[in-house]
Amino acid sequence: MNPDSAIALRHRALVAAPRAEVVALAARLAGRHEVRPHALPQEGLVLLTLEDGVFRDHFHLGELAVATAEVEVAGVRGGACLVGGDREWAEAAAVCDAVVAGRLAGVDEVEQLLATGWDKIGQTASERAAMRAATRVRFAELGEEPPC
Amino acid sequence: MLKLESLWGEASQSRLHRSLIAAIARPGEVVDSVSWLGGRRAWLGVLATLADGGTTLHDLHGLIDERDWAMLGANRAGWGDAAFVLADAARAPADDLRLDRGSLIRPETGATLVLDCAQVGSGTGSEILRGPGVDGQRILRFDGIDPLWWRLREAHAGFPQGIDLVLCDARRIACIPRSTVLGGTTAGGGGR
Repeated sequence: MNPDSAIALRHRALVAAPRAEVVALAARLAGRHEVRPHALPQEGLVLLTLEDGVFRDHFHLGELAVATAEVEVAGVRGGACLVGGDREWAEAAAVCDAVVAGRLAGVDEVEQLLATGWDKIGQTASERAAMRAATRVRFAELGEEPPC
Repeated sequence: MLKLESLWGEASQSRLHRSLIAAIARPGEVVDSVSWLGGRRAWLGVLATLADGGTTLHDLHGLIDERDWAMLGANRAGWGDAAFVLADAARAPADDLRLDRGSLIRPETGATLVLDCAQVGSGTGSEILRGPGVDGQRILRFDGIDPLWWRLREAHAGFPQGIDLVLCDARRIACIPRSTVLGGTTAGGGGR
């Protein structure tokens, strides 16, 4: 797997995991390892730039409130950029990210949390699929068999 | 959760910002910011306040270590393009050093030169300052500034174009914006 994809998937699961559990776990990990900031943690607005599908022009969809954090845990870098502007959550996610990236002590706990995140993502996907299914309509001309 | 050095904290940055505004508004007036620097030199406090991911910075004499570069978040640029240039005042600038002095249409793009000096507000060198923000004249004392830095400032002058100077030592800051007229000196090490 592309390492960037692995990081993106990890971040997706971290964001889906309960915030309180991520913050509590990161605090425990910070007690075990030396944690230092790599860059200044920040919260603010970023412009979301997208490319239109026809002319391939870039346009700004709008602004998003985000929080970013980059840390070094026992010399291993980790980072997070979360929508919502919650800096404490971003810092905690960055610590968890570094522990997984470096396979440091405590990685099992983080992976359990990631599994919780994936469960939540799966549950949300199922709920949305059920909601979409309830709105399905079948179009059929008179005399034709309805499409399956 | 993350423990930031006090220099990078919001309270210190806010106070440093206010100090810088006061220093720029009153050229040559020395601001002591030791309480907010956490033991770091004043130039880092100045850059921490002014630089971010939207600005460009050039470190002429390699004063910034990689860790501080990451914390500053500024983009590296050549000395001719950088919005902020940091230099060791004791070392003479190269003859061909040309900073961005802005243009008549966009004078605000003129560079800010941050000089790390041995002393600001005391010392054997001095300059007499006149102009906006100075009631009559003000004498700024300093030590450890190579005279060629003053010549560099003159070479870039031509208001509204020009470069702004921020002089820093271990804990003190003084500003000499491009609108300030330097005239007359007293004898002393490093002065003109």
